[in-house]
Amino acid sequence: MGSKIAFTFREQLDGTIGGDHHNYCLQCGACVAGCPAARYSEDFNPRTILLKTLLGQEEELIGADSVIWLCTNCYTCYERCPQDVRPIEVIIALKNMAAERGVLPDEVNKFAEMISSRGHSAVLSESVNRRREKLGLDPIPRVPVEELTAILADPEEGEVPSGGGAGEVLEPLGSKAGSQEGPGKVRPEKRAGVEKKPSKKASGGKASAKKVGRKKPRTTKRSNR
Amino acid sequence: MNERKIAPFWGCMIPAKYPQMEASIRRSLGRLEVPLVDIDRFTCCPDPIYFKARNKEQWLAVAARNLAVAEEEDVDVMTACSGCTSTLREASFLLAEDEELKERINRRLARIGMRYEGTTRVRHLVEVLRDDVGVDRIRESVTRPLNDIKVAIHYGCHLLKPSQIMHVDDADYPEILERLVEATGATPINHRERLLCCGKGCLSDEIPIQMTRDIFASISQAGADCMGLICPTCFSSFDLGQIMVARKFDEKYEIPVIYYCQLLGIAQGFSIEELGLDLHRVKVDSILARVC
Ligand code: SF4
Ligand code: SF4
Repeated sequence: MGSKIAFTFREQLDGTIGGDHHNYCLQCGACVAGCPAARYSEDFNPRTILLKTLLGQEEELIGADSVIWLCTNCYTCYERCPQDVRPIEVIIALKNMAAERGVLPDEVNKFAEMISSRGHSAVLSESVNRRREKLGLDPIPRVPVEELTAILADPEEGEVPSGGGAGEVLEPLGSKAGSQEGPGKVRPEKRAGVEKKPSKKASGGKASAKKVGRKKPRTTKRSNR
Repeated sequence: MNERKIAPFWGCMIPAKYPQMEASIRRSLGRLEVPLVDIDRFTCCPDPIYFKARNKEQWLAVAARNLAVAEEEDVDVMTACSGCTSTLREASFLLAEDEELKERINRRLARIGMRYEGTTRVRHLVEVLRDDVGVDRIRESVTRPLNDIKVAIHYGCHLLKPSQIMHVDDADYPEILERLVEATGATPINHRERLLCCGKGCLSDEIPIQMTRDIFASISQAGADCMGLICPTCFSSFDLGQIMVARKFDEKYEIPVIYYCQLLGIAQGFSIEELGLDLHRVKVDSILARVC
């Protein structure tokens, strides 16, 4: 193992959601026994991954050949860890850091992009609705994807805060009333007995939130390090 | 008991890939008089594996929007997929735990005039069945008991773990699905790999299929007639997965994989077509022949 601890990397990990809990790891190994990725791959071991985070071994953890993608996301380590490290969430924080760097497996990126751009992870085709019809089901409703586009955009400098404490109710920022209704599709009235607050309905979304998600393309760079 | 209306959160896989699950849920819960209020403003939960891996803040934002929709509609959410359950529950947990994060996410939601407070309860349908309906009423709804059918239950991961967030049942000794399966008249059977992950979240060409193989070896050794589960992702690992195992290892299993509400639906007397059982890769005829 390396001799020096790379604190800069650890600070970056601390700043990534769920990454800060790596600091609590005392290397007991309780996370290993039930880990299916460790059972099926000699290369994978959640305790070792945590050790590398403690040492700040950036390249091993988020480089193109990292083993983190073998994690099955089963949450057994989270269940077992006595230190509330939540190892799987540390692994996810590492994946987020890898994505930031543009080192993201293609299938992950494609799948995530599908959700960003369509609001749905499955292909919605006519044949899907035909199959649903045969089962006596209505067609799949239109997904309000423009709302997603707005909330996925990176925050702007000095973005208007959400109104913070005191439960203050915000007025929508835009003004295109009813824009989330799909063409030709009128949302059915809310069920009887439920008063809907009229003003909370979405408007067109923030004018400045024009782009979905990401600025840099995050395609895989699977070249060797 | 539960005064709020329940809105089903269908997610993506069930309505688009496995609508037979949706049909079976609507029919079997309808028989049990669980009123469902459909809301058409939900999006993908979003998926707790890939989307979350790319950007957890965006993942939280989309989840919080879905939860805020439920708050606006004043409903509790009922999920039918373990992935959706995991995403929505974990997002609620994290946003309750970290006020600063919650405000950060709410700044995103403010762009569309929404706000997340954390007042909606999210439960998987098996919790609704256990806690609101109760095993006795399920048993009373059965007209065609699945006597002598041995069901190997596959829990999957995200319904139970982490128990700090999910608190559905004991993560190591769960019995919620056993009780629900018994209510149909069928017999749940234990097996070595009962709590193994389905492997779908692992990015490898080798590992997930090995896991599927081991699970089928385990349940066939235990003498199961079928596999019962509650998650569409697990379903895809095992229905199609069984065929992949046969191809890769030359080991043939023909163990039908059945979503819980389909199992219940059979016992309630619904037809194969009504439950979409004819859409499965591994045919369920062997089971049907024994109960019909
Ligand atoms: S992550 Fe938790 S269980 Fe694993 S070695 Fe560290 S302290 Fe132990
Ligand atoms: S979540 Fe990943 S690291 Fe944790 S036990 Fe499961 S496979 Fe192992």
